[in-house]
Amino acid sequence: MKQKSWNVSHLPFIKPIGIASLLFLYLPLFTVLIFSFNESEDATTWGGFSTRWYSTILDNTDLIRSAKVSLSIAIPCAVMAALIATGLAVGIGRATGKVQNFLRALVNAPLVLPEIVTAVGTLALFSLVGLPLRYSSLLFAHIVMCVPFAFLPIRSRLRDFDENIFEASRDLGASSTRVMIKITVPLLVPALLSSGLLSFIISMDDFLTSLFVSGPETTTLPIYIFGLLKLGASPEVNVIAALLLIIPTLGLLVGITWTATRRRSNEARNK
Amino acid sequence: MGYRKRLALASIATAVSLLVGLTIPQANATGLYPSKPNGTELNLYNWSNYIDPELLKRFTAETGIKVNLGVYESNAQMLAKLEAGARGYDIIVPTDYMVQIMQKKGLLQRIHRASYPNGGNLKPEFINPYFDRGRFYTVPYLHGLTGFAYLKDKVTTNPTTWKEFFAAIPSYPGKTTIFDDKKEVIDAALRSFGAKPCTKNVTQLQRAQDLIKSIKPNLNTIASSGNIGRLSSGTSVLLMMYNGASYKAKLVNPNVVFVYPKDGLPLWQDNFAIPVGAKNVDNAKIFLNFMMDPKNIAQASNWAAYNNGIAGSEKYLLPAMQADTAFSPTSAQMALGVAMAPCSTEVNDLYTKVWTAFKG
Amino acid sequence: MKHRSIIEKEPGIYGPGFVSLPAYVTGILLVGLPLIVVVVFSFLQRGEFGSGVIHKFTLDAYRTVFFETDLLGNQTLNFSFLKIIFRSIVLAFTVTVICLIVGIPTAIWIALQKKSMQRILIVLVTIPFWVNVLARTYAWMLLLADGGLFNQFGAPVLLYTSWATFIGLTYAFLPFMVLPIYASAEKLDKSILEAAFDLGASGWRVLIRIVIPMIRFGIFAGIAIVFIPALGAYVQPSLLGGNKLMLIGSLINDQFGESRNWPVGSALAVLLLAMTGVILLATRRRKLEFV
Repeated sequence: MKQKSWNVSHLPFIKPIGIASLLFLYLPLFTVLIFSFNESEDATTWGGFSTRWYSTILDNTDLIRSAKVSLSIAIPCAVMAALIATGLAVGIGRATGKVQNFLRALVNAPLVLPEIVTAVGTLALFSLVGLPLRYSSLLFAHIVMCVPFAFLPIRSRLRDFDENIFEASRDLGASSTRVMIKITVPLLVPALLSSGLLSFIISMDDFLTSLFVSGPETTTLPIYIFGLLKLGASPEVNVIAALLLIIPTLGLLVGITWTATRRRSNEARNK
Repeated sequence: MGYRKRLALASIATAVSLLVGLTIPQANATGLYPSKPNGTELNLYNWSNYIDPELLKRFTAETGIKVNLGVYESNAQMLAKLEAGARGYDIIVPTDYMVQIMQKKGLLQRIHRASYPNGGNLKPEFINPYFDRGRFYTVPYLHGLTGFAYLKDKVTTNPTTWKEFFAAIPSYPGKTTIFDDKKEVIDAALRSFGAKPCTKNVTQLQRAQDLIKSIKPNLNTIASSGNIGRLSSGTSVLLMMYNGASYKAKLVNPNVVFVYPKDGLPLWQDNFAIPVGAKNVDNAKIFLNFMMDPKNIAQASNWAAYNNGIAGSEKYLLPAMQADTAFSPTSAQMALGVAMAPCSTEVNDLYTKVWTAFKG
Repeated sequence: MKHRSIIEKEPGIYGPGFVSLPAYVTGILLVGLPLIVVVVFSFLQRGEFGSGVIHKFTLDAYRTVFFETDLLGNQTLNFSFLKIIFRSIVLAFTVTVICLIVGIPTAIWIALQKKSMQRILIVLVTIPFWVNVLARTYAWMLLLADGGLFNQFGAPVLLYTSWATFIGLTYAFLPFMVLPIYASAEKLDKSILEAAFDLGASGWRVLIRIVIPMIRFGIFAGIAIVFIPALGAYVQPSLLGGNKLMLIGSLINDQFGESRNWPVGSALAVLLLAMTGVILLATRRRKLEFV
């Protein structure tokens, strides 16, 4: 039995930098969390522990409304983006060679372009066709923005699957519609959930595109928060920032434990 | 009279009355004050941190209309948003010169103030401003002046002019702020050496550009909002400031001093207007009427610390605020204030050049 | 396990063609169209009073971007804009380098842990990514403020300096650097490392000669994913940097907002696109195949 004669500490700096970077990532998050319980009215200096600022945010009708606006965009966006991404996967699967590469590059493009370019482009496009800036145009912009993200889990899932299944069913005479209904869609269900979730989060968090394309009645949560941030640090913002921290983290942890338990029960079943 | 003569007279009479009718501002049916709200929404597009949230809540309680608040930081931003296609704002709050610009572009709806219950409440001196004679397109909101403020325990040189303001900035590196507003900043720089705002003289503009560029390393941030907090906390000890905002800072930090610079300062008037394309026009009119009630506008004044244009509001204003010169300038100080008119497009382009060179 | 070739082929017929039609329209046309419109607008004339565009072809926008007539009438290269562009490139470059210096070791460290530990650490690295960038930027507003934590421990006030912008950007992009490198690193064949150590190679040698070359695709992907958004950053310079130093992102925002010159804004966006294209070409090996 060979003994491991080396470990990660033999590689210079790897371990210390690794640990340091985790601390770096979490110091600000913990600071915000702790300061949201800051008694003091001066947001940046600690004055004692208190939960009083948490109760004030419920009175903030503008905050609540912007959160509602964001939700009302993010949920339909998640659904539509997942569906459209599925349609894209189908379309790209059918294309071949150069066309396929081109299509894939186009779908991937927004992921690598600076968001300001796509935001400006979307605004310019709306202006060109005379589309006013309101709820439907914002939703539209968000769907377009989320589709490349929604595409990622779907494509990854499709690739994981044995392409022979699709070929075999075609050989057996199934129409492409039948293939889609009986095979593709059931296969994709977990990926659709990931797609939807990813799109939901991208949409809820989006700032730049929304800033450019928003109009009356479409002040999203990030836009509202940015306005607050420009006024400087304040206890209310501390609480809002802390909530923006806590909610996704909890959601992520819940999601991970759920998938982990599912995987473990699957593995147990398959033994 | 013969038949033909009567016909001729009738035609002339019709023509004349048509002419007269067309030249007198018409009250079209949609301009009249509504009897009740239409729907429950109002889209208000206002300056950031510029209206008392409690006042809006009271408006909702009294009328049943919910206010959706959107905010902007400058007139140009507001105009840019509207022109980018954001239709559906019901009330906007343009400053005087912007009213004139928007009026010329046909972006404002006519207001038939005579049919509003509170329509007669305007102070006489506010009825005929240069940008809206007769107030057919706007209702005055708050007005104020842009000067500068400092903390007297930190800044002991007692600056009283823009010249001294700019000269003092390098002594407080990292503790000074100016507005993110091209017009305000460049005008202040021009005034500091005796030039006039909207000048076409490129030598003067170059000098202004050099001046603001020279003080830039000493600024902490370039922002029009958030300054009340910065001043009261001492993050900034010397900064460009609106008079009302500095009063609010003074309530937190008694060392705040507001200065009406002796070399001149802008007197601006913010107004409510209904933009073309407004979604809830009736509710907008109800809001305008609400804001012409002396008690309501006084609440707005008390919160924002700026004076207003509605007669009868004086008795509801906070006495301590009224006594402070930041809120009530002396006549000498008031005389220093100059109403800001818009510059021509070519001068605007020159200003933009200066601003980009400064910011870049 | 079937061997996957570098250029992935998606051979499957997953469904009927008509399903893809709405997808093509939304997903593809509207990804491509905004970009096309931006390019077109950059060649149009500025609208009256500055709003919108007039549909007349002109090179005015590009002329404004590259050349300027200063106040005194001298025509020169537009140093204001060029400075801004150069500054953005330098900032993006520095942020990328720091993210590399921190991110590469972090990714390697995680990849060399036990499998179960790896999963936990990756989750830890991913969590900040899910937190809204505004909240994360705000955290630095708190830390770097006058009287904030850093200041109280003796550091100078960093808020409203370019240091703050730089820190904020590095913080925002670090997970973006770590994740793709980790994706490469976890596939590292550890027996090679072991063999190298057995043969007496020093830690540095193993790191530089073996590990890093093996994860280079992940590094390239990380560079692209950090450099490009950093070029167009807007939030951090505005909130942390005191809105003083214009970067391309704020300049474009300004042209579409306060300054109301859409063609110039579009021209700048086209420039940004071009720079993005260069970076992508330079780091292209497997186009984002790491997912």
